[in-house]
Amino acid sequence: MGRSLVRFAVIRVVFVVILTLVAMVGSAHAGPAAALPSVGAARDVRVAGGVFKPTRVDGGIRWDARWILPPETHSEMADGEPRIILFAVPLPEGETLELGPGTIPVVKQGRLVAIRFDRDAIDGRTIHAVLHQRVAHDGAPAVPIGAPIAAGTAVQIVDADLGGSVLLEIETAAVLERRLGHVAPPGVGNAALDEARRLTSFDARVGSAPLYVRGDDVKTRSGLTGMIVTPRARGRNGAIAVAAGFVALVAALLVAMKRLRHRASIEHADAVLAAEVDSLDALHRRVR
Amino acid sequence: MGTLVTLLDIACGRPIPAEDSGRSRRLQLVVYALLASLIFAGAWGLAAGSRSSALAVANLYKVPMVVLMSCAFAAPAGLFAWRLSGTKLRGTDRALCFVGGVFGGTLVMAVLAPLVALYYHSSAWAGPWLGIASVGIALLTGTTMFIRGVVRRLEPGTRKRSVLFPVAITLSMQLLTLLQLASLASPIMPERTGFSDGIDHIAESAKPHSAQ
Repeated sequence: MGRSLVRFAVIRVVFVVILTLVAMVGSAHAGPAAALPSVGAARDVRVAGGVFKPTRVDGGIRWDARWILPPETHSEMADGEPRIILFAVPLPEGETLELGPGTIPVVKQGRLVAIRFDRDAIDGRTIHAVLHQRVAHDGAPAVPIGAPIAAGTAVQIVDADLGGSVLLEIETAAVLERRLGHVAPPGVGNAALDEARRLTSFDARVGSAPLYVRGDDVKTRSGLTGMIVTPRARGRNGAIAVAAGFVALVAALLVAMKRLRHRASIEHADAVLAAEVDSLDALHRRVR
Repeated sequence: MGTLVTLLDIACGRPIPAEDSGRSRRLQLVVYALLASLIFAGAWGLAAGSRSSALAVANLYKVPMVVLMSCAFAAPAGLFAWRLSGTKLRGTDRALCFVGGVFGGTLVMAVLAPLVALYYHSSAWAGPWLGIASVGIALLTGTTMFIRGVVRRLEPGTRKRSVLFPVAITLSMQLLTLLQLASLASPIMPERTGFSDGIDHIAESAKPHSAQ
């Protein structure tokens, strides 16, 4: 009897230990999420559009982000509860949100995964935020695009103009295609792009190729990459080709000059001789 | 010296002397005109970049490169346009008229080069403007010389209007290539100008900006 009681007690203790361990493991995974400021309570909002304007700054890229919310969001938030905009993929490591009125970053495993906002942060239908992406100058050709593209199916715009004629060339593989003056997913028509431009009042600079993309496309590709291209780098290949053509042309002109010299002198001598013969002929006729 | 005088005569639209009317001699004059243009363009480049020795040295090949390559790029379209228009003009005459214009234009740049250099060293405002203006004057002079040369060398009975199309095509091609070549070779002047970024910058400037 006593033995069975002891056995029962041991089993209970083992069971409790196992339960505690499982709970600890579970909380370890959910740890950062638990640290999020009331993410569980906040409902996520699907944006209607967005535009992300990069600017090259010391040590990285400053992203000026504007998300356009559905018209009803403002009235729905009368309950006072904050909302979150979930990003399609976690932003690159080290990217930070500049704290603004009514916006709070949502971080998971050290990376920004969403932005939480209050009703006060809404300007018309727009949520505005500034993010700073660190870009290592380690000579790597491609950098991850740190634009906070919201999850969902809304077409959002990533401007490719970094200022000072420096461009962001987005790598187009599988889910993106390069079109005349912009990059977009193959299935997205011009009407959707027009609507995205209208919503965000976006006006692209001539020569840059902005990216029109949906959150779901970004999720499919597990993030986007691109290259920072300076005007000097862009023109380098062309300049080398033109310089090579120039050298070849000058060489050809010099060879032509050498080859023509002999023939031209013969032609010149013939012409002078013919002219002198003609003048002598005329003189002879006058004398006679 | 005699060749230089002949080239000046050609640029000014005067008739070619009988002793220089052979095919080889004409081709030789074309080659001489182009090589002389390179020297003139180099002189202007040296003046425009004289505020920085590195830029001045680089301009010694950059500006001649822009001039020569623009001629090379414009020539095929020009030749095709001449063929289409059916204008009666000897091939070597066409080439002489074209390089005569280039020669005249770059000569204007060369004679204005000392002025450009002087103003670049003595005035922060006037130097760049004079540099751009000298190129504008050179383009205008070259165009005038080209058109005048073509009109004067037309075979009797050929309508003058018939040269408009090929001349316009040749000049448009040269201007368009000059614009992008100048952007590729940029910086040519110490300042960033409206031409430094080529057609993109010009198109952006011309675009009506909507309110954000």
